[in-house]
Amino acid sequence: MYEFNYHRPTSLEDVSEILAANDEAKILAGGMTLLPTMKMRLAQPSDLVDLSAIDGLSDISDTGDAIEIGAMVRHADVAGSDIVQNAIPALAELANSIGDAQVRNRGTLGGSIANSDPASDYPAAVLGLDAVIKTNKREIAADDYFKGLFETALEANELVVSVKFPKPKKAAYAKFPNPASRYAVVGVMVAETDSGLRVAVTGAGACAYRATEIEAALGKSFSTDALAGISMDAADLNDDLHASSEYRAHLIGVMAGRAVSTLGG
Amino acid sequence: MEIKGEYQIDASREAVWDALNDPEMLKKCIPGCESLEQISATELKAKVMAAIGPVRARFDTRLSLENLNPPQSYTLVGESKAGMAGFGRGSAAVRLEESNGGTLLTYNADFKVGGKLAQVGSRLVMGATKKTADDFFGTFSRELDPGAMRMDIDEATGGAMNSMTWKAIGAAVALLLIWWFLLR
Repeated sequence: MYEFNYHRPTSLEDVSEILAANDEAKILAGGMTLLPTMKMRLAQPSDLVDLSAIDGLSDISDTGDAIEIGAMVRHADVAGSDIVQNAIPALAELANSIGDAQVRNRGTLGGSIANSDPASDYPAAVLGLDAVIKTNKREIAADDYFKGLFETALEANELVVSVKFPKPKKAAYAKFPNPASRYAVVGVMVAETDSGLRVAVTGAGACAYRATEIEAALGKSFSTDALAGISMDAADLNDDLHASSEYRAHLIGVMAGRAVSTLGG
Repeated sequence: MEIKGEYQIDASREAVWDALNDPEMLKKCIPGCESLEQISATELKAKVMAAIGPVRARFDTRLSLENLNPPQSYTLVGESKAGMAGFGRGSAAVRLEESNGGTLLTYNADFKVGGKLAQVGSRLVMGATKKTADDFFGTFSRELDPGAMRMDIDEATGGAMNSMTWKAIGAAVALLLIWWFLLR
């Protein structure tokens, strides 16, 4: 084990101070990606800033037209929340499909979207449901948030405080999980929101993105038949030992179809 | 996923070739490059800080230039070791063609990892390589020509509009203004 300083501040201001004073500091939320990376010596931060003692980051609340979920809320708590199950059942189901029980009990919403792993599930929900990401500095619309491979609009020393998910008229998430890790080989969130029909894809590209071709097709006719003629371009899709880019391109249509048929289309 | 790209650079082929063989230039363009020293005419040693997502590791990298065919093409071969974390080996075949009074740079890159890196990272290798190659050749092209354009993808559909699109929009707006003045 190599040495690092461990901090457990009790306020966001203290977090900012510690981060500003230490270039090589890392924020620790659930640690489901950071800790294995450190064990592998692929990251050796000088300081870890544990967010678990900060009040107000672990709440789920119904604000009327939206559900607000704190950054430190664990996947298992989203999956088991009555509030989420009633208002956005697709989000509870998505949370329940992440990883295994250990990951769901430790991993957090904020950690997941700050890391923006290309195969993580939450980004599909954030983008598909047109959520707003609240940070310690500002609010970021989902459409402006995911920038690329592990890249988000978050600035250095900016951290996610909560995510506000507007209640959709209807929404469903379908994913093709890797059988071992349960990471999404491809996951698709289809949602009818106040801002229109949204289809968000995760697992397939460098980061979550909206499949505008599918949105257009479903806008004309909300049915699995509408998806029949659509073929997705495989050129920029992920290609690895789990699936080729062509296979992923095919899965996008299949997963979108499953989500649509769940919604009765 | 094929990792390739094309840039149109407003500079002569010889100038682009010289830049591709200039250690200072390479240092500026390799993402996270902390130091670079030349060991021989075709070999270089570099320290590269790779920061992709949760990974933040310093790699000792050996770069060599192979298949030299000045001023048309070469292959940039890199081998990295990151201590216990593992190693990586990659290459980028670069071709330069004279086109439209400038130079068309084409690259084809490939990367493989071994050791622990492969256990955890193999699903991310392609994406990370693509990002690194895009960053390197993008920076390189813009160093030579701030208006260098990516040719193989339509950047307009990707959200960011390229300068050609802006020129087209500018021209359309100008035409509309002239028309409006004429009709008044």
